[in-house]
Amino acid sequence: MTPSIAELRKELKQSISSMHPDVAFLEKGHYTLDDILDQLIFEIIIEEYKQYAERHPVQYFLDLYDDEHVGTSRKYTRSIQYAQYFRDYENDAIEEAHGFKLPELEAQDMSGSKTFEGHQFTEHEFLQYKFKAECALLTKLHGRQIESSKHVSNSAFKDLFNEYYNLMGDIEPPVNNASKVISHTYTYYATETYFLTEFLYHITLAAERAGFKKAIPLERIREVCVLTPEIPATVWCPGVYYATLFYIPKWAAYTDDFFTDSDETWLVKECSLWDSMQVKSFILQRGHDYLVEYMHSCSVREKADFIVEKYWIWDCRPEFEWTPERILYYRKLHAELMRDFPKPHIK
Amino acid sequence: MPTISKKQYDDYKQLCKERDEGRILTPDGLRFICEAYNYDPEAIGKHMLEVLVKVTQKKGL
Repeated sequence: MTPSIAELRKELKQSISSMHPDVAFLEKGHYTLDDILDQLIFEIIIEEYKQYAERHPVQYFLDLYDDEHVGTSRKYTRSIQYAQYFRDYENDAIEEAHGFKLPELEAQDMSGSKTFEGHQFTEHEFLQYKFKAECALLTKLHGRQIESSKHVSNSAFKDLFNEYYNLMGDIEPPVNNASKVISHTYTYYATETYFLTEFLYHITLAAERAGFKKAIPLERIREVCVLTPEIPATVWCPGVYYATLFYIPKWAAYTDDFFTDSDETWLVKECSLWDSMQVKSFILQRGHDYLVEYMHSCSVREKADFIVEKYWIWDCRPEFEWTPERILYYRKLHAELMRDFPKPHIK
Repeated sequence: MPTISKKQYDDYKQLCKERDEGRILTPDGLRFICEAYNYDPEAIGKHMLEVLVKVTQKKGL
């Protein structure tokens, strides 16, 4: 049988149905079984991309994306150093918890003859460095200056978000360029799941609808958008480390529930999310190599078509409309929800 | 290579759907209707008005 995403989807659906004792329970929140499958397939496409995408030196991409070439060398060197600083921080935390490091987070070996070849990047990696270099908002989010009006005034706050919106809009890919559909969508997905820029805006709007209550439902928010370090074993599934279910297309659907659901109502959604996260992460992690190889045998066009038809997260982007109350809440939300990072010292 | 945005692609898909469901009147289709009614303006007009009622009811307009 010719490998295809449709066939893979059937197999995965079968696996989930035979694995979970009550598949209907997975749909007790806002996600359906089809949504979970879409997320799983998207992540397999990403895993395949990480392993097999073409890599090129920065100069190759400069000709494509940064034709001014003014001060680019320092710009990208700084960006690479910043990114590596945060990757090392993440990798050290993983090593401390589990005793090993993730190779994909380690710095590229630039010793010996490799000095002359330079760093080799995928298009997605290059775009991330470019975004980091050009989008001031990301620096302000990382450094948490965004949380204080002393560091970022309200008008600067609006400007930063407008710039972010425009820069991200600039890389929305044309649907007929298959490789860009994958690499650019991955860049948007990675940026949003890391910084939660737009999700926090959706939460702010929901908080406004609920009357800007003082307490922020942090636990509920985390259950939707934060990586879970460990889910213990159940009778139907072994324990899973680093579980996620970042189904961006429907993240916003949960935002009102954060503020309005009773504890009982939320508990059902929480358990459903938990199970969905466990089943998705277990299948992806346990079947990783097989799934990546299977996806590799599908054409790039087919993968791009899947993203265009089923996972077009570009349509989820909100147009930011800020009021002083919203800005205030966003600052507070960011301060309470996001992690602290030690500051990098890069010249 | 000319680029196609997602919005253009969605519009195109919608057009194809309308065409496949016979909701787009092509020159050939118009000629066919006129011939079928022997170029009788009254009969053609009556047919068009009947179709209009069906289309608006279906779309809830």
